[in-house]
This record gives sequence, C-alpha cells and structure tokens, in this order.
Amino acid sequence: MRTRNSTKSTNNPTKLPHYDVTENFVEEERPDNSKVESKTRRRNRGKLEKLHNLPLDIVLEIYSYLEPLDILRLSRTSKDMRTFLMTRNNAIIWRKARLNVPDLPPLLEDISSEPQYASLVFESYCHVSDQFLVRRSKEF
Amino acid sequence: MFTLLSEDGISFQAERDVLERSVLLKNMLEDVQDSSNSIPLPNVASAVLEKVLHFCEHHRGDPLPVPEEDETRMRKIVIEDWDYDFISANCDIVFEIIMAANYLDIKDLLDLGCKYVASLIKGKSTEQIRELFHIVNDLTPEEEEKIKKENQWAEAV
Repeated sequence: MRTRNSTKSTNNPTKLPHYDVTENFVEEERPDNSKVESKTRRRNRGKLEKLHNLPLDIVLEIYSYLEPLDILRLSRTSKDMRTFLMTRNNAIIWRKARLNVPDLPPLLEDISSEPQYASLVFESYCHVSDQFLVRRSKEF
Repeated sequence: MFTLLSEDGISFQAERDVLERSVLLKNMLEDVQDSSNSIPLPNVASAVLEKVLHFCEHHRGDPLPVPEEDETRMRKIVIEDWDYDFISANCDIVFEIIMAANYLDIKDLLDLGCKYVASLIKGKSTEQIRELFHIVNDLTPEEEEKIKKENQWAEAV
C-alpha cells in the first residue's frame, strides 16, 4: 500500500485533480464549522454576565461547586476578577474548591497561599515546581 | 387555594403543599386557613413566579431539603433529569430564578440554580469563561503570562 501510494503521488497525474477536490471539499466545510462554532459562542456570550449582580453569598455558593483549577482560570480572566479572587479575604473560595477534589495532599505551610497551591497541584508549570523544589530544599 | 400576586400584578393560584416548598410562604401561611386575600410578592416578576411555581408543583410532596450542617463536605454537581431540563429550558432567567428562590427561601431551587451556573463555568478555559461573563480582557499578553506565574495573595507582595 505504502509503495503504491508513493509512486502514485509522484507519477500519477490524476492525483492532482483528486487532491484539489478534497481541498475544495474541506474549504466548503470550513465555513459551516465556523458557523456552528460562532453560533455556540454567540449563545454562550454574556450568558453569565449578570452573575456578579447577585448578592455575594450566592456568588460564593455558586463558586463552592467549582474546583481549584476553575478558580485559577476565573482569576485570570480580568483585572477585577483577579483582584476579587486573589485577596486573602476570599481564601474561603479557594478552600472550598479544594474540598471538592478528593484525596488532595494537605496545604503545606511553606506554600504560602491557596492560589499557589492550586497552581502547584493542578498546573504543571516548571517554574512553580522549581520554586517548590527550592523552597522544599531550604527545609532540609 | 391561595393567591399570589406578582410584582407586575398578575395573580397565581396554588395549593398549600405547593407553596410550602417556600419557607417564607410556609411561615406566612402558618396561621392562615384559607385566604381570599392575595399574597403580594413585590420582588418576583410573573414570568419568574410562573416558573418557580412550576418547580414547586413538580416537587410537591418531596421531603424538604435539610439545611447543611457540614460546611466542609465535598460538593458535586449532580442534577436530576427533570430539574436539569427545567433549569436549562429557563437558562435565560436563571439569575432571576435564583434571586426568587433566595427571597422565597426555596432551598432545592436555589441549589439547582447555583449548581447549573457552576456547571457552565466548570472545566472551561479562561477564554471561554470570559465569553460566558462577557468579560473584556483588560490584561495585555505580557500581563497574562506574568499572572500565570504569580500565585501569591495580592496584598502579600
């Protein structure tokens, strides 16, 4: 099979038009796909815009179902969200999110914050691990 | 039968066991046998009240949810089929439903609304969350890269 294909692609002139057809077909499909995608996007756009008009206790209730990675991503959506989630006063949001993941290692004292813990456990950025290693090794 | 009057002046009739899904109404109706006077609900619009009553009717007779004592338990988003169909069909007024459930003190409806909204956020990327909330990304690409690495509390610099 492999040899036949390779000879065809170099020698058989019918290969080219055939290739063109598939390419056209793909091109025809593409606008459709993007339409579907933009429709879903449009449907979702602003769907939760009013969430932050809710009283704080309800917002906290909603967040209490999320996991640390969700909170971490929320905290990176804008400056306001970051300010809201990265204050120590709202550590409860992170703590509750942590409770939703079973069998997590406990918060280590030398990792100073919940967001740091979330990033460390749920993301694999090298710099964090490096930092972690350095911090850990200081203990020994 | 009791009559409820919505914010926009539409009256709804419902039986006691339906209304008693709401702790607020349950307490209000405690000393009332039958009422010819309607109960005004100045915080709930008719479009929302209709849905709330629909939910309460479906769940009439169900045991009332008990208040949670253990704040440290794990929370999973589990939604029953009927409830999911109900809330997703009304997703455009989900926040109004949540507010009404909060005001009327209907715990299972409030929980349902919160779980549904949480389910929309859960597992989404930062960009997808921005779309959901209609958040304008005011972070430069450099700032975005930077905050990914900074996971300290804001005040502890």
